[in-house]
Amino acid sequence: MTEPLLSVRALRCRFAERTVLDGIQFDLAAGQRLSIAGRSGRGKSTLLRLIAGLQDAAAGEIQIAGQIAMQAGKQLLAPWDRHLQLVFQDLGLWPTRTVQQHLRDALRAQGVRGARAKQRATEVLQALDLSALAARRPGRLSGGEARRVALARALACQPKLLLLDEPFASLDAESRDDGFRFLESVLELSQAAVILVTHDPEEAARLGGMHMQLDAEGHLV
Amino acid sequence: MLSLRRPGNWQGLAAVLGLALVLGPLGPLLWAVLQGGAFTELGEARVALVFWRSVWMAALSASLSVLVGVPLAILSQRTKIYGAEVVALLTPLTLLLPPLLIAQGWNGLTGWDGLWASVFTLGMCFAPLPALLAARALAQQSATSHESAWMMGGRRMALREMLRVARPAAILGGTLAFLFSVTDFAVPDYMAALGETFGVYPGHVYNHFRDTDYWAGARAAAPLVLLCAAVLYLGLWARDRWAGEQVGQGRPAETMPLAGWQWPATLLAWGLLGCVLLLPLARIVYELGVAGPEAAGTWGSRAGESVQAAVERGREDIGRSLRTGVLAGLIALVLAPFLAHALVRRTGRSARLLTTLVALPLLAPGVGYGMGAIAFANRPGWTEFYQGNLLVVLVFAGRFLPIAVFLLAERFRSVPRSRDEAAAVSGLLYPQRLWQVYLAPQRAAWLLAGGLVLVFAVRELDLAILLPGANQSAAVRYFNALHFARDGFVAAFGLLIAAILFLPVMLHAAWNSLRQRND
Repeated sequence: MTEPLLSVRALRCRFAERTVLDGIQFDLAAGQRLSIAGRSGRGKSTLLRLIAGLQDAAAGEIQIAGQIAMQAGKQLLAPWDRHLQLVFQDLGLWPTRTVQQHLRDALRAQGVRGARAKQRATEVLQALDLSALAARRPGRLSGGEARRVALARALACQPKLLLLDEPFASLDAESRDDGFRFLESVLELSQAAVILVTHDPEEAARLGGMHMQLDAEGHLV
Repeated sequence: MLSLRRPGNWQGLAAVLGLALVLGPLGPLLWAVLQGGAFTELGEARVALVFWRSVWMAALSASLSVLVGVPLAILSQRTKIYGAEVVALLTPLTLLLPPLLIAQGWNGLTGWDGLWASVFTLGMCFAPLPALLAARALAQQSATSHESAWMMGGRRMALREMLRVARPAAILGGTLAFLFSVTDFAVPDYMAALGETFGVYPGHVYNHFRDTDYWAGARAAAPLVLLCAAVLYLGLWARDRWAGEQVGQGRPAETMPLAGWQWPATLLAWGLLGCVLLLPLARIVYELGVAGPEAAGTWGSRAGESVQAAVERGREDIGRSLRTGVLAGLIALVLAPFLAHALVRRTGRSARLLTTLVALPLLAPGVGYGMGAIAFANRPGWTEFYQGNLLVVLVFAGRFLPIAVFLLAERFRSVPRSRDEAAAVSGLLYPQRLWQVYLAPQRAAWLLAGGLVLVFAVRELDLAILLPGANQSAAVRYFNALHFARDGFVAAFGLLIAAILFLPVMLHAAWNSLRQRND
């Protein structure tokens, strides 16, 4: 078997006296899909933040693309060196930047600058049918449009692993359908592996691939 | 029929009362504009030169304020430097001090005088304005917008995003720094008296006082008021142009880890705070007991004598200043909530216009405002009023009312509109609604608004020099003493004023910290 893209071992996370995640263990191959369902407050977002390197754990190890990213709960690899992108539940868009600038900033972080960055940003916007939104700032986008922009920004970084934190929460059924179709086109373009966490089992099932559940004790089953 | 439930009626009444306070001093200035005689003097080459000198000096000072203030805000608000809370607490204190005190400190430290020393000193004095506003904007940045930048490009990208978040606030802070610098009379006057002579436009306005031509003084101040109003409107426009609507769940962004940069960043933050506040204050403390050629005793004994002399000789002036400040603060406590509420319920152009109008008394140079007050009140049969304390209280209350209004408006903005609407639907009278929804939950901010009017009334010098009723105040005594000599008494008296001015803000900080601990 080839080396997994992501390997999580014995991951444990505590907030004050409460254990949120305990003994989390799984592997994910390149291009594979994993959905994790669980009720609110079970640590789904925390799991993604640990993988992204945004917070420390109490114990455990994470390997990404063969590199140890976290060991004994300590982050060893910076988030920007992990070849992944996290789409936050509230999207984390930059309020003063236009949609086009979001993509150009993301590309600049990858070392793509100037005219090349502009061209690549335009290509991504066209490929995802977002050109009409290019000059708008997040405050002028609808909920569905803002979600697409967050996904497009993540795609512009060409990640190997895409982490999605309840990407379609608070959308109506029709917008959620649109969102899923958009996500499919993003995944088709990027060929990235994906982990989606959600409280909605239907949404989890719709992604396809592996499916897991976070229980009340913080175990992944 | 007038309804007690309609906010417009109450806000209108507050606006009329506020207008009555400022119309006396501002009236002659506005009258000069309407008569078209306001710009006649600017046609003279000498006056035009002084006017444009004031503009570029203030532009340089404001740029310096932004260059110092924004890093201070980022370092104290969003990084883990050592003593970040202390830096954040001390930074605004400079704004409470008379700029002349900072000028005294810097001149003592470096010997700098003349035009460039004036630019530098005013830059330091008003650096807390962009610092405070930028810190507030940074505190509201959503956690995930910071984290997405951090995740993509590390410290550099996160910092760039912070600068973008702080930019609108820095623009407004820089604008305010420009307005306060361009209208300042005392610092350029002091620096010109010490070294190379140069004139600024507020000095030109003041010279009409020496000629006892008060109406001409009011007329001369009008171009500066118009310039300030235009600059403030442009500053507000630029802020709105660059501002982005915060998106996110409201979880505030965490401080940025600095790793190996922690000590250099800490030194930079404390160094900037040193320039803005600590170094000039430390110099003045040193001057408490500085030895002249005939001096006897130790530094400590001389410093003790200076403080004793300052308390004994300055007690009455300080008492008078405090009484004036308290009364002006009480007037602001009553009027400011209504005007602040009127302000927060407007957006876009109408908000910018109302903000500029409310700010007008603060935008007038102190000497011009004083000249307007004299032109208004110095008339036959009004001698008692003209020379009395009542005029001073009313003039100070009107001039500093905008500070209370803007502070409260800033706090009111955080109250959800739905809470206000629910109170309106329940049929509460407007003052009850204002109290229950806005003031009661933010009593500390309300008191601080009154406290700041008190502080600014006590520290005001440019205006106090002109009004007979304010001549025997702490600020004027300090001004006269400093121009006369540079001894321990001046240092002690300056520090005494500083301690009094710091008190309301320190009490507010203590109250807040106590409340947070109890929560």
